[in-house]
Amino acid sequence: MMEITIQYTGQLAGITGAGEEVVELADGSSVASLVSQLCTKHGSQYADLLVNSEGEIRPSTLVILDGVQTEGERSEILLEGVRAVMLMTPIAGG
Amino acid sequence: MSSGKELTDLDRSIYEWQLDVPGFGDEGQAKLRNTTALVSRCGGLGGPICLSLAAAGFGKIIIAHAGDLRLDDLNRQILMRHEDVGSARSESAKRTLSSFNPHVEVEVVPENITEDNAEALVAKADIVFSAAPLFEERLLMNQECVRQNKLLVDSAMYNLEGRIIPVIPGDSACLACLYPEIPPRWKRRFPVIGAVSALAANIGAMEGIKLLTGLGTANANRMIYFDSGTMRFQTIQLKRNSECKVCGKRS
Ligand SMILES: [Zn+2]
Repeated sequence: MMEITIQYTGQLAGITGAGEEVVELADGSSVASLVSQLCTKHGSQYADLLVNSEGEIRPSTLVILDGVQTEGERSEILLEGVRAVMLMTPIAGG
Repeated sequence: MSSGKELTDLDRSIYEWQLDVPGFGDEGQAKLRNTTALVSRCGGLGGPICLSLAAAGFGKIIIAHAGDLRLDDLNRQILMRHEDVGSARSESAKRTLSSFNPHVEVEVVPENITEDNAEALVAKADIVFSAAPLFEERLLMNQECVRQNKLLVDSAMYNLEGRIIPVIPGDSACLACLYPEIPPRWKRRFPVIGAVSALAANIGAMEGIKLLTGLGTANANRMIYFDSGTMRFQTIQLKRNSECKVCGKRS
């Protein structure tokens, strides 16, 4: 098992009621398996912010691994060795 | 940037304390004096940006913001004045800025950014500070800045958080690299305490000053993120999206 700290920003932080949480993941887990585990845990309002109706991560939700933004096929990235995942929903308050 | 205007004795008197900043000096001041900044909306975030740009001695500030001042703007829109409730925000902002620093030229456009005015407004500026509460306007500013090769600082907040993205077109990730579509779940009404928008604003203003003058380390290709609930600050390494519809084809 691996332990990863999930950091929430924007509306996701509002829904979870916490800025971060620590989750346990099976070895070999990818971003997709993390996202699916989190959506099951936190329910439909959370899932709706994070993924679209096909269950894919919304293009404008940033997935940041240990302070580095990811792009391209983000779901397939393996989380081996990652300590913190930041999930950032888009904000535009001005 | 026209390098026309030299510093006057009056400039030296007003800006004396910042001329002492190592790495800034006369050269930095002259750059700002010859810079025109476009600020998209002068509300809770754009307002304090304008004030800091005026304090720093930018040559000209162009403000684009539509609508009349409302009572519920006044918890954060610090350029405005209570007695101006019901009249144009842009004019209230201009009056405040001009009384604060009459040596900065202020032009107001009582319109928000649209496809019709974006190109012409960006063409007049050397740098754009984007602070509208809608992604439509921010993505338009980004597209025009990339097209015209103008510096952009996009600053945003939500609740107790803020994030600032400085963009050097063709060199760093642009806003559309990160947000390739208008985010469907963003709502126009957002929770805000004025001090949080002013914090995001002043980080953005400082990033702009650094991009222009070479002071310190500019954060192009990085997002500055803060949570004022915990006062955790972070810089996040950004990646250009090679498929980006706005900047993807540029070298
Ligand atoms: Zn781009």
